Parts: sequence; C-alpha cells; structure tokens
Amino acid sequence: VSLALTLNGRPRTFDGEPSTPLLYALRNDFELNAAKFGCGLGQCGACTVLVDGRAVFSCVLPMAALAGRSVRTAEGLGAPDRPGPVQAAFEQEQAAQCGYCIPGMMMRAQALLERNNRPTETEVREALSPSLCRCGTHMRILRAVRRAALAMGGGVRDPAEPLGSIPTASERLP
Amino acid sequence: MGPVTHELAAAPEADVRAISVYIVSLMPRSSEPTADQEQAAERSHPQGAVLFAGACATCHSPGASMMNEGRPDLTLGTPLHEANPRDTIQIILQGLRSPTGRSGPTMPAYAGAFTDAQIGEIAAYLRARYTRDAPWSGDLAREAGAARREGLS
Repeated sequence: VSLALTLNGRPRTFDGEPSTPLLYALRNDFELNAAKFGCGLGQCGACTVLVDGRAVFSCVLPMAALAGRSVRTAEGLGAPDRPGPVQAAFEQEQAAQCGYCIPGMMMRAQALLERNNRPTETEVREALSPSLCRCGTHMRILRAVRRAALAMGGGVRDPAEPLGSIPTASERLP
Repeated sequence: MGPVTHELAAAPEADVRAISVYIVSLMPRSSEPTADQEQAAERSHPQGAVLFAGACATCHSPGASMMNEGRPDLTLGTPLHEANPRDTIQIILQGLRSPTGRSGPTMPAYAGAFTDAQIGEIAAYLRARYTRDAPWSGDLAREAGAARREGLS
C-alpha cells in the first residue's frame, strides 16, 4: 500500500504495511530518529510526535491513519545551526540528562505553545505529563518550557520560579 | 466505577455472589457465549482491522503482554455490548488512567491520533469482532464527533 502524507512540511509517500506504527516508519523508512522507542505501549511518551498539531504516541498509531495528514517530528522544529525556540530553550536550560525523553517532551511543549503561548504552570505540567523522564530533569524541562514560551511571544502566567540566567558551562550537567 | 469495584473486593463472598446473580438477571444477553470473530470482522470492516492491528493489538491481541498477565479479553468488555457506542468511543478518545497512587488499567488517549471517521471504523470493527450483538446503528463517525465535543470540558 502506498499513502501520501506531509512530513515536516514536505509531501512524502509511505510504501508498506498499512498497520506499521508511525514510529517504525519514521525511524526505518524516513530515517528520522528523534522519536524514540520506549515502551511500545503508548505509556512512556518517548515516541511523541505531532499529527495535525496535536501530540500523539507514534508507537501505537498505524500509518493507515495518516493518509493526507501532517506529521511533525523534532527534526521539523529546527536544525543544529538554526534551532527552533523550543529546541534552543531546552539547550539553554540543559534540560537533557540521558536525553531519551527529550524529543517527546519538546513535541509536547511545541503543541502546547503553538495552541497557547501564555499557559499556566498547571497547563504546562498537564501537557507534559504523558511523557516520562527517569533521569529526573523535570525542573530543567519546566524551565526550558517557560523560556520557550517567552521566546514564542508569550510566557507562563504563574511560573513556579523566575526565569533565571542561562546556566554557564561550569553549571551544566556533564 | 473503579472505586466501587475496589471497595466491593472486601465484601463477603456470599454478598458478591448475590450481587452478581442480580446483575446478570438484568443482562439477559450476557449469558450468550461470545467469541473472537477476527476473520469475519476483518472482512466486514477492513479499515477498522488495520487500525486495530497498528494501535490496539499490541495490548489487546492474544499473546500480547497485557493478555499474558491475565487481563480480560475484549469479548468481556462491557462497553462493546451496550446498546449504543458512546462508552466505547469515549474510552478510545480519552483512554483510561489508573487512580493516583494505585495501580490500575491504563490506556493511551487516541483523541489526537484518530479522525472521527477512523474512531467510527474501529468501534464498528470492535463490535463485529468481539460481540454477537447487532451492529450499532447510526453514523459512528458522527457519534465520534459528538463524543469528542462532549469530552472537552
């Protein structure tokens, strides 16, 4: 089966089993490796991407559901030399420790901030909650989302802590 | 409903049996045998079958990890046997969350993943595959759209 979709703004075609999960097509067919395989059950969020602007678990979403729809991955947020605001904020706040959950976290932040760039702290936490982080950099991730909201023309209404200065190299995680 | 069944776990067995007998008496069709009618459902709802295979089978198919843990088969899923598809559609849209601080069933929400038409296809497929009840009447895609609006607070 061949089906057409939009992937990171470009028209692409998928040829294969229509029940193939989007995550496998992204990584194996389109060679976009930002989305990660975590649990394969739609419970950990490492595979999160955007479909028509909404955050979804790509490990439990078959390609058959995506004909004519628009998929966005972390590769679509920017590039190393010109990162998007969410990517830049995550980097500035050094939000990644092992980094496995981070692409999913960024996609959830992107979906939220595109819809509402002036969220409350609770709305940020609810939007990110389907993605799990086992390293424990949650506070840095939240700082990054607050910074990204500001960069996207808004800001978190009731931040749990003020936006600090960007950590210097010596303060960064190894 | 979760807290109710949890609390009733501590009731005396005689009471549990009496309640069961009463509930079954209200559900005459529940005594009919049900079976997994996978092939017939795939023929009548090919699109639903493909979506199920890619989205649901990883937990709900024979041999899936959830099934190997002894969790109930979808033939026993009460919402699939109801007179209308609303509960089934809401569960697909919103998923299930286990109660805070306790273990319990978990299912991801598919509201962002599937279109109304796709939710309708899956609901029709589930009804055909896991029950011997008549197909749900009406336009299931339209039902999914209505359920989506209802589910938004």
